[in-house]
Amino acid sequence: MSQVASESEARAETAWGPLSALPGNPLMWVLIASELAVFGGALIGYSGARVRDPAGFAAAQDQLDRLAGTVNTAVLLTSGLCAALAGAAREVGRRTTARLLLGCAGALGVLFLVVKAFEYGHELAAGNDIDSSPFFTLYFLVTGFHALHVVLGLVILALVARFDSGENYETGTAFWHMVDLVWIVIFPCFYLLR
Amino acid sequence: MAKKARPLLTAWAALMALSLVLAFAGDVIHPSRLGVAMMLAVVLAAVVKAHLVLRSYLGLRAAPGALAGFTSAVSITLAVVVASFLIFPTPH
Repeated sequence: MSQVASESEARAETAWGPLSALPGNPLMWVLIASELAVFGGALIGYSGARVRDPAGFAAAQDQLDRLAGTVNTAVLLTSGLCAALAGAAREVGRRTTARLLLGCAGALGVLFLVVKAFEYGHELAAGNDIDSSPFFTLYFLVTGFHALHVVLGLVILALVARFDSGENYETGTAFWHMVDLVWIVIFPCFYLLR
Repeated sequence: MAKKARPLLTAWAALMALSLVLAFAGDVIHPSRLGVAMMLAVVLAAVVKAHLVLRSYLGLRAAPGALAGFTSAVSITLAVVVASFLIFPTPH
């Protein structure tokens, strides 16, 4: 029976090719690569749109709250640490600690959304909505899409806490780290480079 | 657990330090324009942060080929963006 199981595992590894070497479910890595391609394409599109009006983009960009964006970076990185520590705790069988750390990761994810909502509120109050300029169209689309991923990540973290197998931890926290990674790339492009 | 936690905590400390570098190089307080050196510093810090997240948080330390591939993808994206800022600078 165990020989059948190991043969089946070996077949699965062959089927996924080089993806088998990656931690967690290989399909998550396909998703991570796809998401990076989508956000990367959007950022290259952003730089292309900016070329047509560098002064207009700079003026619009100056209305962003760069400090809030920096705070949110720290919040998301710390959330990522909690998720990674949760995975490490689950690996050594400390399931309660793992769940608590996952809860901390989720709470920081909620804090990220609160800060983002605060930022959006300020921008909308200043008259900058999705139609007000090409910069704000791209800003709201890209950061809004990222925020949606944070919401989806929170749902996934909750599911992992409920169904806490080792593979679920690896796969669920990988999604959360991907959200972190995307923010690391978005943040300097929209907030800092000028 | 402590043995597994230490590299994660080290990576987090490095990420936070790089975020401070990013905040300084990107001058988050003032609306001033950035010089070429500061823009390159911003992008370099972002690439190193992405590499750290891929290696430590996402566990790609064990898969160096994938780590190099994902880091390259992020680097190329950021290189294209910063190149557009350098070729078409913001007028003062």
